[in-house]
Amino acid sequence: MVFSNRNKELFGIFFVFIILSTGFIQLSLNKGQFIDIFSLGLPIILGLFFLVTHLAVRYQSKAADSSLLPIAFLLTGFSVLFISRLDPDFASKQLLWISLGLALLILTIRFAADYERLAEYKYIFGALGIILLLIPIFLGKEIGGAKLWLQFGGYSFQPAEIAKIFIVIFLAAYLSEKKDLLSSGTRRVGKLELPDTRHFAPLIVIWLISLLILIFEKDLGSSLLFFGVFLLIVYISTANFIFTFAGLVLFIFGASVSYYFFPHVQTRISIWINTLPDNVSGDSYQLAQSLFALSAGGVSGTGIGNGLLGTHIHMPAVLTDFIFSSVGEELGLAGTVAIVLIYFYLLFRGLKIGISQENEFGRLLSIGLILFLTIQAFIIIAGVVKFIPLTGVTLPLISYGGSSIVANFILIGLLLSISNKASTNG
Amino acid sequence: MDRQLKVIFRIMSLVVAMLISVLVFRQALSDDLAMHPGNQRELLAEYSINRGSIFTIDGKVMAESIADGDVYKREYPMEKIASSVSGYWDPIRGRSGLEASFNEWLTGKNQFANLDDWFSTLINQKTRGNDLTLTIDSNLQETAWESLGDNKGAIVVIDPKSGAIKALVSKPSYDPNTINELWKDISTDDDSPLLNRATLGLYPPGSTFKIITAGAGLALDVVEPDTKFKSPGELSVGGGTVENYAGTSNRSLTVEKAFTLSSNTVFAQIGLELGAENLVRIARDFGFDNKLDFDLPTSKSTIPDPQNMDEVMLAWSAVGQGETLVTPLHMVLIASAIANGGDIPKPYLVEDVRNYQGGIVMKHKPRMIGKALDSDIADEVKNMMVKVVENGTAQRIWTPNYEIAGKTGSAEIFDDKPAHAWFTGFAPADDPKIAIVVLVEEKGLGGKIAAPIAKDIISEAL
Repeated sequence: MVFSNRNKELFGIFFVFIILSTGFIQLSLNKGQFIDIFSLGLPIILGLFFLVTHLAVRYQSKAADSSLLPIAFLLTGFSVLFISRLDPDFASKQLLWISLGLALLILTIRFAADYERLAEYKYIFGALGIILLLIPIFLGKEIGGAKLWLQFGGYSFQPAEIAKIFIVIFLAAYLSEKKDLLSSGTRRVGKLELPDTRHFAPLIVIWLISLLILIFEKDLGSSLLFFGVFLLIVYISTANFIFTFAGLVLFIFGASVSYYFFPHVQTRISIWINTLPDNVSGDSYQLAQSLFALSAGGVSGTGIGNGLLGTHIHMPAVLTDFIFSSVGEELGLAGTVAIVLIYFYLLFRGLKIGISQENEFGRLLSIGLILFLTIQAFIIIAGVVKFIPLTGVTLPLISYGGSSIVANFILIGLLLSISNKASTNG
Repeated sequence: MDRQLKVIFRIMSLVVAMLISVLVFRQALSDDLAMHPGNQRELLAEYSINRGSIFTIDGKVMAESIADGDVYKREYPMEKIASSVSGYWDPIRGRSGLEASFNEWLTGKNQFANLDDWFSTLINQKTRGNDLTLTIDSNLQETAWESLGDNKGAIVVIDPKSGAIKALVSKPSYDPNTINELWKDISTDDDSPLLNRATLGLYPPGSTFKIITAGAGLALDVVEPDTKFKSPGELSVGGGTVENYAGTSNRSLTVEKAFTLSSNTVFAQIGLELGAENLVRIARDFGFDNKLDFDLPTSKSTIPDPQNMDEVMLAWSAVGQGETLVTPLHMVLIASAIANGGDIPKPYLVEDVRNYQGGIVMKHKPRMIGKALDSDIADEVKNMMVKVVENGTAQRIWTPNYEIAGKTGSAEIFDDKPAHAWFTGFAPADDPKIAIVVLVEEKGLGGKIAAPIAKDIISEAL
């Protein structure tokens, strides 16, 4: 008997529910609480959210990829588990963001079912994306050393999270249209085929935007992410190393110049090089605590609820940038490697969806979206384990935060729509 | 496009492989970070452990952990009196004494009480650590503490048959309740209150060493108790001289009389007749040059290598001066060996370890760690030690109630300072219940200073 994609998805959601339930039971035991049905309150609510979403997908996009929803459930389940362990007040808020995100996901698969039409509005998306990226320079509020937040009433909103989707839609549409222009060499220098100078214009524009984000919003993570993903998409689209190479040169040039001129970049680098002075305090405090937590977790971890980070050891960004460190402490190497591999599998699924697309726009869009999500995950993970200098971006679907959760669910929704189309066509 | 995707996928696979390598490095191979000075984790963990209590044999609390909100405070009701035994526990200053050597037991890492306990540990429901029951008798410990007064020195009281330590005092000492506040002063104090003199302090044994010289002479048939020797006030040996304390001289003395009056010149002659090899061999049978295994850290008592001994050094070594060094704990084992027919008991402090439910998880089994002399030779030495108290250097502590066997020592330190006063012995001589050593630093005659202190403790014990 062959299972349909939707039945596989349902089974996946059920399987993830069992995994999460054991996690919540362990947390209750470790807190010394009595185990009853209320211990499973959060996974049950979350499970119902995903069940409703599953039904919507079953109705709307029968043939969509079967693993995206269970993986999103697993990652957000970890999110709620760790947030309820670290600061229970934020768990219900996160649940609210997840419900909003899933509602938008359902709207996305409903209204972007025919996703190809998005290409028609590429310039609107492009303009909106750039505006959203740059608006914090003028209206933003500086939180935690970076100016990437907009405030409305009591809520703050991180426009870069939504901007990445708009920018990818624009790039995918633009490149699928101009592909031939960009990849056909118009000048020859030796063996190399160089594109016409004017085709470098978009590259320069994106590079400048990245620099503006870096300099004025002090957001190293977003800057790196946007520019990096842009270069990869251009490479995939044109198969021309020249752009990527030129991009790398520009990147190194921009990074060196900003290092010399901007103290906040220097601080990040010096923290990275010298994380553990004997007196752990000041700028490198959180990164040092992250390394201590990872080390304390060892191979198997302390168990959920037994860690010290965020509860016994002060850690301001434990729910956002450093949530991975808490996972590392309590679930150990086993947990961190599992999470890295889950993102890797998500990337694999995303690339597979891309390959199965007949039209160029769909290919570039799905690949661009999945690259955004997974590269963002790898940038922040590499940062908190001190592999690269720390840059403040959220860990997609796990970190606390409305903009990030909502944006990533829309992203998953788009991928569901695209994958549905591929299989229907193919 | 498929070719580009392959490239991208390879690059991302490489990124993932690198991330996993870094994670392995950070999590599995980073134990050194636990000891980093900026890392409070060990400290927080220390505070959250409900350590087991330490009890004396008569049920007095020597150390216990009291809950204080989320954390535990360590309290020592016996204050200064027992700190030479318990040591201290402080998250900042670390651990010493039994708190250090039995840390694994006290924290409960060493043994789970039962399956429930093991499961509780798995889910981090913290149970109490194990309790220690010591061999220390709180009354005797207090008497020993009081008797030593304001002197610097050490006292050890032991059951010579089992090796159970009944009292162990080192002065000056410190109050472990306030170790953190005291730290700055006591860690720099010239009198080293943190040094456990009883187990770690190395002193010249002085005339107490004559127990060994006499034992060696009798065991190797070099002398009998009634063998006579000339006893001048000063004896020329090789290129130097050996003098009697305060220069007293007699025409001639039997070995027994020389022992009771502690004549250096007679024992120097016995030493010379024995030869360095024999003297050192018997001293090693008594435990010199051997690391003593004990519940607290110990120093190794040492005697010079016989190859390096010239005649002067041999003569001085035979009377316990020169380069021979001994710890008070070892000295009480020497007396115990005589009390015990030559058998040296293994000294111990911890009678048993019990889990928080009272179940015994470890119990000490008394045993002997060496044979110093045959029992008939040991008994001959014992008789001479009885004479020391009857009409010798320790006669001021003679009592009609029971026979005390003992030997005094006044270990000169050749520095214009008064000698270290020693007394070691046991009582009752015919059926020894306790053996004792008293060492008082830089206070002069053993018979005058150390023996009366020993007397107080012996009478309390018996």
